[in-house]
Amino acid sequence: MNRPSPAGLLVALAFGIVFVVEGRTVLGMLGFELPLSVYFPVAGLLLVAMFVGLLLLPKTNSKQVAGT
Amino acid sequence: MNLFVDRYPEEAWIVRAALASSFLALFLGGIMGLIQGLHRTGFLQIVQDSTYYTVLTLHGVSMVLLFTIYFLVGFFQWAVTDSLDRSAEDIRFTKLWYFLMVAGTVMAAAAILGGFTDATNLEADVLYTFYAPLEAHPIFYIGLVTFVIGTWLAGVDWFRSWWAWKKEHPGERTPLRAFMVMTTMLMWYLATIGVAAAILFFILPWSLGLVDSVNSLLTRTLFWFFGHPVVYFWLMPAYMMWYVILPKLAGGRLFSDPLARIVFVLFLLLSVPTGIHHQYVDPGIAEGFKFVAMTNTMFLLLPSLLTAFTVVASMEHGARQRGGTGRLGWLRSLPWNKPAFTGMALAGLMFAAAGFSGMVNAGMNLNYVIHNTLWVPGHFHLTVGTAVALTFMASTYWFLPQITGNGVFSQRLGLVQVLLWFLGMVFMGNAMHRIGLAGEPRRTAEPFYDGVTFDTALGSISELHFQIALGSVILTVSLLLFMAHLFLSWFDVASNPAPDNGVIPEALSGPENAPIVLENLRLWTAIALVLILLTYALPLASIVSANGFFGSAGTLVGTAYEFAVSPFVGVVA
Amino acid sequence: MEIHRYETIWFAASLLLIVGFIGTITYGAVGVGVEMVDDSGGTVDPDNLGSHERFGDTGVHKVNESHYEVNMIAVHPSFIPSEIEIPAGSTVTFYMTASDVTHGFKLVDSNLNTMIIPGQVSEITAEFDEPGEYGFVCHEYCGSLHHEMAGNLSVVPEDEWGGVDS
Ligand code: HEM
Ligand SMILES: [Cu+2]
Ligand SMILES: [Cu+2]
Repeated sequence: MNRPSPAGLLVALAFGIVFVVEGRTVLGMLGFELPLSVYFPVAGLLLVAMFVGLLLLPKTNSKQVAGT
Repeated sequence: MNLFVDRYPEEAWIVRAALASSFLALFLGGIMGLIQGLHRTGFLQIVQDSTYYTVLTLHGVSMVLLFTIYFLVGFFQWAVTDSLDRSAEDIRFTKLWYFLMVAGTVMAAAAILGGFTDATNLEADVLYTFYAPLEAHPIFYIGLVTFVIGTWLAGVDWFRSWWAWKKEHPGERTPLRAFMVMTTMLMWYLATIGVAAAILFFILPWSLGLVDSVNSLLTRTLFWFFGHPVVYFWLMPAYMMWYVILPKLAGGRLFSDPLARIVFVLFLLLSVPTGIHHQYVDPGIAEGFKFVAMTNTMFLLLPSLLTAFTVVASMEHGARQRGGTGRLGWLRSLPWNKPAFTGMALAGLMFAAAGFSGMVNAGMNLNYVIHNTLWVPGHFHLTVGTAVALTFMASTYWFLPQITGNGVFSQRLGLVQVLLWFLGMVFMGNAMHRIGLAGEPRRTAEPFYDGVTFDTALGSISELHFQIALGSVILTVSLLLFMAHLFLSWFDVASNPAPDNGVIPEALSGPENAPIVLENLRLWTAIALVLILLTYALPLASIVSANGFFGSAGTLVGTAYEFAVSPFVGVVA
Repeated sequence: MEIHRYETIWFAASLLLIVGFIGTITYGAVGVGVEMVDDSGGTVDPDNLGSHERFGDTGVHKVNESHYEVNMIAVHPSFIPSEIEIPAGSTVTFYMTASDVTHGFKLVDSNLNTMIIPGQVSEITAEFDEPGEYGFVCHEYCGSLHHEMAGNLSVVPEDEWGGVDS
């Protein structure tokens, strides 16, 4: 897998935040209720790790067709 | 010279005027939204509690009547002119309907804004649903009616174009965009019978003092006769963009033209006879009528589910055209750097989420849990507040050059803007749904009562209030970015050239494959009317026979009026 | 008209989903007997509630050992009565109407939910087995003090119940 473009990174980050927010709802529905002070640091760290991971990927040499 | 503005400068003027009105309303409504989001969560209360409802009226009316409908008329004018490739039959008539809408807006807005000061007797703190006997200044109702008449004439304008086109192209299929406009407008004519009757026959005469009272349940039922299909009036332009513009932006073309037509015909048929689903918990309406409305509502899911399929399929096709491969890998080949594309795709995603909460609303029994709680605004900020609003904003990044002749200011800024809207709505929408499940009511300045506590199954109410406030702020930032960007692009600050990409590609499976009967709009309208009669004749008759046309009391004038008008109303109803 | 195979499958699945929904809800309504608010409460003249046999006499009324009735009027910005006490283990039927504008009633933490519309009577019945405190709120905007319109329902142990309002 290659590193997403800057736009791709932004989109990935947005989705990451969404997963963090909704993740708490879903976990709660499944019966795992974590205190705020535990959930958000952990989820936040995971998010940062994901983002750094994406940045560490090699840059693309993709031959994408230019957008219209 | 492919740009719309070069080919049809006068029509482009109307489109620009309509869009400018639309975004002005969005801006105003957005500021009110921020005030609400901070006020009802207790974070910042810059207005009095009693003024909150003036703010909320302004928010509701600006957002769902002005922002959406002005955008619609602008977009439809473009769609008709461009797809039929002919000028308006008489541009003066086009201007007439636009200015009628503006006149109506000014009257209604004056009434609402009057609520902020004691200096005038103008006020309309009745929210956008104006349930009688809450009473607004008559100018509010007159303004609303004038606005709606403006939209009726707009429809007449487009039908004239279409009829003239058909004369010159006998036997040809109506171009897809024009077809979508015509079916949507037919639906609108049927839908607006409800509000028009409620206002003209009952509420306006009552607010002018001609009659003494109103039958609340009757005017309410007439409102929702209109109130459900109006949501499809907001949604149809968004659907149209998903069908005609999104596939192009994704790099491909629409999957199936005939299926798109079927979807719009289904909306024409089923949008109106569902309104009673907003009245599941109303007294005075028998359970059977509610059940019929629910069944129709569930079938109305069908065109939306079909749309979901087509949109995803068209996107995948586009991505593969752009070199995308793999089962899900093609997703990466979509033009995520284009705000027009990304915004619409996210809007579609949010709409899918909204579909789930919508199914809860639509279920007669589940509805009891969430009716009139904050869950409901949570739901429709995902539908009209995102699926529609974000699609409109996103499409503007593509659309604006067509009608101004200038390129947009910055695609990157646009991308940030649409992502922020998405994020803000995730925070606000999620929290509103959950807080609604805890029982907190909507339309409330201060949901902090003595002796009433709301408990959420998980987390805490204060955490959810914080999410609402945070979401409101993010949304407002997104909105301000949008307005700034709009301004910079409109006045061509960066002098970017307009990309020459106004042509909409034909669908993979073209219109010639569509059954010819789809073109017969008279037939579909007639069937829609029959369905409406079947669902509404009996409930309306029973409401009127139980409480009369005007509720209880009657003056001499009222009785005379009733006597003169009721036979006619009976026919209409 | 050619329709893609996936499209046909999707179409069929969609229809199945829809029919499934309608089926479950029909079962809920007919089979299990979830009660809906409907027209069973009848109508009233909102301007003459004082002389109405039911609403002239608001408050809790005993029908028999296990069945009670509560007659309520909603008028901005309060419920009459707003403090209600009933014994545990009873079935309660609420009759509600409005004398001014449209209001709403939601008993928090339950699915008791109805609109209260001038001229109409909302009738809802519920069972309260265990003692407990419930808040209820007006959930439809009814005027500038709408956010103050709320009340309380106490379900008390049978032997502590203070009797009907006099
Ligand atoms: C800046 C973005 C926005 C914010 C912060 C916002 C916030 C809110 C809040 C907090 C409420 C609930 C008020 C209450 O029930 O007490 C509300 C209601 C509402 N919003 Fe928004 N909103 C935004 C954008 C939109 C958009 C784009 C639309 C539609 C196109 C919309 C349509 C509505 C409607 C129809 C209501 C219900 C009004 C009523 O109950 O009478 N909002 N909004
Ligand atoms: Cu609806
Ligand atoms: Cu109220």
